[in-house]
Amino acid sequence: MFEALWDGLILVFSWPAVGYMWIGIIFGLFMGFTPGIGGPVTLALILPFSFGLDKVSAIAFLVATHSVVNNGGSVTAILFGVPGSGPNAATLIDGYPLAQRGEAGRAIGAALGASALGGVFGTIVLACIIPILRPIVLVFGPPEFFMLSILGVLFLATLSGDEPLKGVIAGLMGLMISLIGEELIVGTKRYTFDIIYLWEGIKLVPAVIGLFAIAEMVDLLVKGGAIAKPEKQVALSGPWTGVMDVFRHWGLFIRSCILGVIIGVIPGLGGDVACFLAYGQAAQTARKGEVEYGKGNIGGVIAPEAASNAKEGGALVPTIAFGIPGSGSMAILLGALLIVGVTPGAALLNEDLNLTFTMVWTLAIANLGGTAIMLLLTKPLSKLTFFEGSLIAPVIIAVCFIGAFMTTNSMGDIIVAIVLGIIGYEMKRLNYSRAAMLLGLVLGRIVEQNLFLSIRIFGGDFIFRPIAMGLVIIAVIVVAWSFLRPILKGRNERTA
Amino acid sequence: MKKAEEIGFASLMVIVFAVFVILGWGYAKRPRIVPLTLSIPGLALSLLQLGNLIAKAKRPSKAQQLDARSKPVEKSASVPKPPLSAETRKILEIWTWIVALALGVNFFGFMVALPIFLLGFIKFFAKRTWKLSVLISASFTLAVYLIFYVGLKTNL
Repeated sequence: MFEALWDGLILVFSWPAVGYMWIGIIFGLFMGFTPGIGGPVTLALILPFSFGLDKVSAIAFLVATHSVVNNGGSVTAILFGVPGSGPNAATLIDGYPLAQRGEAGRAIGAALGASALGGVFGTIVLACIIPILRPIVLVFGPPEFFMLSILGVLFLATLSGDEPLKGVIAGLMGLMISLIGEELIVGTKRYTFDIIYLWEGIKLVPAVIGLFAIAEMVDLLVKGGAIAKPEKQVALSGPWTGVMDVFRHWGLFIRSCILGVIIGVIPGLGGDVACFLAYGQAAQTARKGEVEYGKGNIGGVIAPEAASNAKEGGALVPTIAFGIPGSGSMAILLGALLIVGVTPGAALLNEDLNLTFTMVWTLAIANLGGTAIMLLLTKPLSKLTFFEGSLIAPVIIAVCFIGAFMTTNSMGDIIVAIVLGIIGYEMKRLNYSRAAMLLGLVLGRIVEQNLFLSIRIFGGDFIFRPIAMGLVIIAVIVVAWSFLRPILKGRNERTA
Repeated sequence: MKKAEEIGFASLMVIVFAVFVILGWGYAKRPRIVPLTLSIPGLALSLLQLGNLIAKAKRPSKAQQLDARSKPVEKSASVPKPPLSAETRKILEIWTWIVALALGVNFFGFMVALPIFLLGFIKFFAKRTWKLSVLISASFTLAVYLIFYVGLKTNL
């Protein structure tokens, strides 16, 4: 075991693997910085370049690129309110208000610090968990996945502040939109109106671009001025304050990392769920007197970023052990590994254990390296928030169009981005939770698939399985609390 | 304005959920389970939200109640409709630019539509100089060409 660990480290630093790892880090950061491109598109783009490489170089290149994409995306989420990818949408909720307060540097520092340390946390867990993998993953079946997905949407509904009804409506709308397209089991085309583009459903990338990127840019143009308000320019704080914030909120950081790893291990839930659940638990556990979540609380940046990168270690667990990808990106990564001759399963955990630890080391080194690069660039990047919105917004809208179009090279993706942009802009104006809608969109198919599997395998009693039942109880408590909280708050205010 | 916008959006939600429910009934037993399980509560909740908003809009606010007590209500038979506010005009103008970019991409491709959009937007919407408009649009188009066409060899 320790010999394989050491071999893995040597392999990462062997030539040309180390060179490919750094190319991957720089490319991943750049792609992450480009709104809407995100992890799956980035991996899909580099896939052809990895075909001719040896196993170690290919692993270093692919894993490094994938592990830093979210770091770049968090920077654009904070600076422009434009998430680089789906998981960064949670960072935006508090990161963007922090930038508007002139604390972009601090927010980026916190995001990068939490990402790097979260990534290392996930890697350590991955290294420790390798010997005891199988029983953990097998405990979760379709009923548990189904309930976890429902719980994810309900958690987000509670984040809609004092208007949980709007949050639930948005979440349900997202779930419904995800059902557009060909149904997976029977093949019925639902809500497609005979439009061929809709047969494959609404793609996540144009949806994220529309709901967040385009909507934010229109808002910026309507309000005028820069992303950060001019009178706050002097308050630009350094990124190191943000890094130190991660240590000051160590309890929140550890909780978020654990949540990220657990979500990562469970196949099918992916990064978006990890980030939003981490954000949800941060908001739920906020202390009295803290800045309200959604209005620039640094905890709202730390929690999703820590979970996002900690999740990558967890997501590698089912991918390398059982060949079950934990997310869309992992599915692409799995495909790439198979192409270069790395077969997940027992062999990778026995004979080729050094290759497994090459992935582990690459994940850790890329996280730290990517963060170091981004920290060096934070100050100049933070100043971008003081540029006039009317100059930045059209350029970002143009990039959004490219990002949306690149999903399937179809005009349909651009139309989806525009339509959801209009809806997203109105939701922002009227205080509907766009995050809840997005999560519904991400989880809809997972909900349906696992519901059918649960009924087929366990019948109507699937809900009474112990873990599923526990999740049902949590869901009921979350819903009851979200509706009771505004009532109790109002009563407290009246008595005070 | 905000109230009307709120009611308008809630009505849209009701209509969309209603369409989901109506179309959902038409599917076979298995494919309609999840759509109906989700869209019926969605329709009920959005109707509840719409009802709340309409009730709130009919109820006069505290300030209006105080105002009504101090002043007699003046009935004006023909209140002229207010013209579109500056903000609404701006919003419509921005979306027109975005839709125009989409049409440009569809008919002429990215390499033609992008520079024209950037040039036009920065010059006429942001009201900047020709020099700056040309500089930004030309450098961005060049960057797109180098990254996507030369570097990534993608077909935009």
